[in-house]
Amino acid sequence: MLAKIITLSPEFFLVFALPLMGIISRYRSSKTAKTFYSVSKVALLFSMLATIVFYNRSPMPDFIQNTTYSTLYKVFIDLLAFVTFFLSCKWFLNKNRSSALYYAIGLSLILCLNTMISAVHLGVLVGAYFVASLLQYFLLQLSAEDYEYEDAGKRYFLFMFLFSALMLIGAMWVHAQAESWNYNKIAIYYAKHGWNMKDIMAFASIILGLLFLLGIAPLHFCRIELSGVSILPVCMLCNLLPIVAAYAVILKLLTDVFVSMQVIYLPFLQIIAIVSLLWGAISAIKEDNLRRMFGYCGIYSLGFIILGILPFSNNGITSSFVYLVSYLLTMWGIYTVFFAFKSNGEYLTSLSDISGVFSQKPYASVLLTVFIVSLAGSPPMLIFLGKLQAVDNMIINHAYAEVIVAMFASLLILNAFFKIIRTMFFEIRTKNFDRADRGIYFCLFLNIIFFLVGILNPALFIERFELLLKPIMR
Amino acid sequence: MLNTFSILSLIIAIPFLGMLFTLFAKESADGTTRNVFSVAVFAVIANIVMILRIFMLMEVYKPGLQLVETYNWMQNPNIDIVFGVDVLSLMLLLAIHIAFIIGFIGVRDNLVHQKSLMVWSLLFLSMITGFFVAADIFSFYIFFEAMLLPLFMLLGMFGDVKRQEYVNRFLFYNMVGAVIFFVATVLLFNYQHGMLELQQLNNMKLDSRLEYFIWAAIFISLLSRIPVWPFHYWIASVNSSIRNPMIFLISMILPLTGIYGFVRFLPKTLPAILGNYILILQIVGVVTMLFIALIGLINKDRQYKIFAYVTVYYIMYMLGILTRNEVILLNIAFSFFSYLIIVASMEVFSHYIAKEQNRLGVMDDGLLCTYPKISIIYSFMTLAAVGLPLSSLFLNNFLILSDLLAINIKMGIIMLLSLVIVSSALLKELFRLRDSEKCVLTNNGEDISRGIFCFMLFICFVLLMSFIKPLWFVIGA
Repeated sequence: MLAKIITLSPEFFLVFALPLMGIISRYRSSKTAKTFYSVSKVALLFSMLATIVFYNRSPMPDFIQNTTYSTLYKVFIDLLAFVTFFLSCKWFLNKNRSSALYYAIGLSLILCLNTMISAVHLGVLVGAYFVASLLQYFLLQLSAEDYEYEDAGKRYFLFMFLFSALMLIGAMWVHAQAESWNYNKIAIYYAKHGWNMKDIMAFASIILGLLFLLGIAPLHFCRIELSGVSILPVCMLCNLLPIVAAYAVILKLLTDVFVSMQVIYLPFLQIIAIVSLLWGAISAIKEDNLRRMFGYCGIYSLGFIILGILPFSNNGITSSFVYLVSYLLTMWGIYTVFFAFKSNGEYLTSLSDISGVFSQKPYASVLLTVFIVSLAGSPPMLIFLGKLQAVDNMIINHAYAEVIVAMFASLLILNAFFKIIRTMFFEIRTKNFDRADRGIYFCLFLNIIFFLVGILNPALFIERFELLLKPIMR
Repeated sequence: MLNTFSILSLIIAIPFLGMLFTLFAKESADGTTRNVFSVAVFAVIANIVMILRIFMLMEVYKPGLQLVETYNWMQNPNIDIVFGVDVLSLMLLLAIHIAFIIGFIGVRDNLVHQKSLMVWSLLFLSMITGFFVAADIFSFYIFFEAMLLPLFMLLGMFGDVKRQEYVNRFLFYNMVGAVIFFVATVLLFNYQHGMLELQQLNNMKLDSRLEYFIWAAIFISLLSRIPVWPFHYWIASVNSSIRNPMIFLISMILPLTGIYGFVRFLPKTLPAILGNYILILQIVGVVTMLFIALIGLINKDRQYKIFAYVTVYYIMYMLGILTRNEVILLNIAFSFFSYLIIVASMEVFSHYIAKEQNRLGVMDDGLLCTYPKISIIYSFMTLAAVGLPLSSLFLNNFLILSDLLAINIKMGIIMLLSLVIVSSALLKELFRLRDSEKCVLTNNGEDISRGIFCFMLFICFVLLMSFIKPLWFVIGA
């Protein structure tokens, strides 16, 4: 019993921080964003350490099971959350606004996402999904002072509810057929009995909900809309963390649970990936709002990731994961630069706002260029590794048409990237930029170190990833 | 094989480190950028010393790549990064570095974005050095694409801002080329089931469909860098809008990467499938040559004349390389050495003359009378450029042309005609600048300093020596 309780400590640390923050918020007089950041930081750190220590221990093996696979994704989420919380603290201090709610919801969101990743029970998955989606909606409420988000918020709530309901119906149908919520039993049932049209519909409704959380085209609309109307800390949190969790869960479901339905979902995923690549690339060119533009770049990158993973070979799984990690590291860098770009205390969102920024902020501009070039998949930057592995995998599988589409989309999206570079470097400055916090530069420095290690010795990461991804490999 | 002393990696690293130092170098309190400039020049000189050292370490007349360094970059897919050099790549590297020093002289008094100019130039130098020492298809591709970013930044920051469609055009052509090359690289990698060194390309056996695609991809991507129709468009547009000698020089070095790519990729015995490609390329090449040479003759812009000269010579070298004749290849290597230095010097001094002309507000006819030192250097370079026996260009071009004439007389004649036209355009320009009847005598003219004059005399000496013996600086060669 005691062992089971100790194994639950990653979740416990996160949960423990919530009432602690409530007490601080209620009773402590001198509280700043730093106070809540410190509590979140400690909770997150202990949770992450406990996740690593109990990487293969499961307190409730019928509901959640920890493996190296789930630990890898959970640690990655914790690391990203750590950086996001650190940068968000600067934002809240600058705006002189209370951050208690943000950190509390953020920690709860991490808890839900981690639960989704470890879940081996469809009921737990759907429950955690619903709460995670709801928490994202609450996070959006924090943007009320800065943006007119009501319409987007209502739309998000509606679709979030719809997809949660769909997932629930799908899960219930699967449960009714397999007479179990457990992943293994469901997998065995479908392998034994095959599937019919209704099973496919149930499967599709579960996957659609997860694709909505992932934010891939054509289910990307809410994520893009929210990127434009949310404050920077919320935008960063909601654009990085759920992607990791949704990707981990989708991969697990497709390779472990619904593996017998591969004939059905492979062409479906192929179409979704191609649509995402093209949609992301074309929409990014037209966009002038930086956060939305990078949102579309995210859709393009997700398209690449999905295309690279098909047909779920070991090579594909590794290459897509490498792409995902590179993408998230790059986005971490890009958001960090966004925290550095402010004028008169206001964080800048429009492309025209950053015109000529190079003349006043040369280092931040050069680093943003490095991240953009990486996002374009240009060698020898980090995403090039992912792109190389993904294209290599496509060629191994003789998916030449996909290679052509992917390359065409990569040429298209270059226009968007170079539009940003042109604006930063070649145009005349129109704004006076504020001095950025030293912590932001430290964060950028850390990111560049990861970048350099990844570029110079990719084998160091890739080999370890392969080992950790073993549980879902064949 | 892992060398304990990785000298080839070092010559890529030195300009890169120089770039980092330049990036963090502080500008002087009076707003001048002497620190930045000195760091950049030091980095290039340090690399020249290293290149000369490499010449000493290798056996210059031994065929194939030498001083090979291999690094395992990735396990899955198994990719090794291989570096290696031969006389051709080292000669080109040395010429590029000397051209950079000459280019730096041309922009030493520039105060607009001097730091950016030095940073991006050094990054470009590092990437192009990596390109010339790349000995496997992956590192070749990596540096082939990586050098585009610094060039894009330089063109955007120092080109005419109002005409940025030129920069877009440059980017479009080159990125299309790079993407096609990337696909061809991964295809080849998969087909060969692993690493592919450039030396092994000669023995490569491909099935007919794949061979067709691979060669088409390689030709398109390499041609996207060379000023031959229809790719000449971006180069012409870009160069006519640049008024900074360093940027002009760097954008003029870019076609060299395409030419060098042909040297490395084309097998010694050309596959049958390449016959059609090469015939089309020869026709397009000579037509472009003649066309550009005629425009250069008519156009009054001195910079365009230099551009026309550069273009015509590049196409001639490309057509020479397509013959796969070993003698021609060696002559092209020696010829390129002088050619790059001459073009750099002409561009820098042409820019200096234009600057002085603007400052004094006079016509440039007879302007060189006021500037005896510039006059000597500019005249020497022009005469060497048109093919007088002042540099390795004379003998080597003679040999290249005679071989090309022997292979295809019609092509050779058109080529010769183009060379004559473009040379007369340069000579006409020189005579106009030195016209004693229209001599502009003024006391306000600022000739180059004694130090620069001495340095340029040394460069003239280097060129003269290259005429006598191309590898004169290598002991025992």
